[in-house]
Amino acid sequence: MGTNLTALLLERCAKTIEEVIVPKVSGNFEVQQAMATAQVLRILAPNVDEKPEYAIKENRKIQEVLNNVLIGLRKEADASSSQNKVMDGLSATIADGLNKSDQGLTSAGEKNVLLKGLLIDTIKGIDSLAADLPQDLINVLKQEIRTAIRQQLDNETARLGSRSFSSEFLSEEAS
Amino acid sequence: MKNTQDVMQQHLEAYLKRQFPQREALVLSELERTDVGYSYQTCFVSLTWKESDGPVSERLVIRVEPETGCVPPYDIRPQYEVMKRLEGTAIPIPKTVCLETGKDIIGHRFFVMEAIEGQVLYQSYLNHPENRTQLENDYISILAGMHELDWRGLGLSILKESESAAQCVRSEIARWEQVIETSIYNPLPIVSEVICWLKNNIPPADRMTLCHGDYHCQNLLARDGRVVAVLDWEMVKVGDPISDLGWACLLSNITKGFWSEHGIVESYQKACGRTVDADRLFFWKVLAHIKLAAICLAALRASMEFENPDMRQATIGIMGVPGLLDGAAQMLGF
Repeated sequence: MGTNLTALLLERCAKTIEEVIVPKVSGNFEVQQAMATAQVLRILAPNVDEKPEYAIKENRKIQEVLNNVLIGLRKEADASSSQNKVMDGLSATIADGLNKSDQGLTSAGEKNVLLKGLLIDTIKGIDSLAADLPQDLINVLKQEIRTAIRQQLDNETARLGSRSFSSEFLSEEAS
Repeated sequence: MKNTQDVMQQHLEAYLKRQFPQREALVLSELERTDVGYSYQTCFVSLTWKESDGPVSERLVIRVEPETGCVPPYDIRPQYEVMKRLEGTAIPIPKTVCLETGKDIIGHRFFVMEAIEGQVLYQSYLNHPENRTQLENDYISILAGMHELDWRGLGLSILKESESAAQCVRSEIARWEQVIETSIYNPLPIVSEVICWLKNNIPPADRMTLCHGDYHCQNLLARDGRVVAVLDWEMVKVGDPISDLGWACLLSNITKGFWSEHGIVESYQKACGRTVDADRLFFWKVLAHIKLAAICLAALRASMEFENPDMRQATIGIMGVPGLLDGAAQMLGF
């Protein structure tokens, strides 16, 4: 299961306010404000869900890509005269993983973690098959995988908006 | 009741009295923890003692190894040994004083070095446009000079040379891959895709040299228009010198107002009299993205798990990773 990083971060912010900032604040009113803010963060923390829209979109794309990879691998296996245990194993892993993702997982976040893990297995599996598969097929499969990754990267950067790691950030560090 | 800082100051004073038995009536004061850097903690202290012709004072820096942080695994010894052995070479570095590998003095391992007066090169570069040419020249000539040093002759075998250049690169990829794997909260397929590319595209290295590992404009000090110190040797290694160049290029590209990547590469080529292979530089720039992403992820993990959270580390983790991984993907054409 994935970790709700937003909730963890809110907890950490509260802890920082209470243990790092408050001991250095001198005014009573300001201390009360800071402690109240920390308390609100602690109340919010267990109740925040990471936005499911991104996960739903990503899940759809990863499933589509993995299905295409599976079709490509199966076609190759049918066309090949000899059996390739690694390729068969990868096909079985993808098929099993896709089945699991369709059954029993109600949360988009949990499904997202499972599918991303499966995508990682697929990336590593295809890489280990590079010498056994035709280069054209490798290129097609990689291209498929990279479209799913691109969508994830776009989602991540969109979530941050203008606050991503930037020259401005480093400039502030130096000042 | 005495606070942590007072206790630390007291323990350090007792320790330095043992290090400098000849310094009569030695007093340590003004222990100041700086907010510089995200990994090792840097503290300044002042020492005063009596000599026959009157009181003498000296400013020192204490570099304290963290319990955990953004550049794991931690080992304070290599950087100290390297700095010690570089004294007397053309590389400007603070003179080391002593290394403490026990944790009983202040609860952490640390080393002591001289404090050098100066401004972070980046700030000096921004504030004094009239000095830029000289600062650029120093920046590159120091890097090129470091890569020409006879590191074996300097007794730097502590840096553990790999069997081959390719093995050295594989170890480096494995290190950052492991840091990412142990730091992430949720799976990141982009990392696996880039790591596969890196493993399949290791470039041949024509030489193995001393590499700083974190050479960029915020890790150098400047004074009166010249670079006077190279700091932060915690990622020092023996490896492909182009790894330092790739890192410097990445950091330059995300540091507003510093020298351009093109300028850095051109000057480096001139300074060392060698052509930099474009494919090799490309490889090291891709790896630099992964390395910095790994550091950001480790920072985030440390900020979440360490007893005394440093929320600045959480910030670089959250803000840094997406852009860096996106940058690596763009370099690989997607």
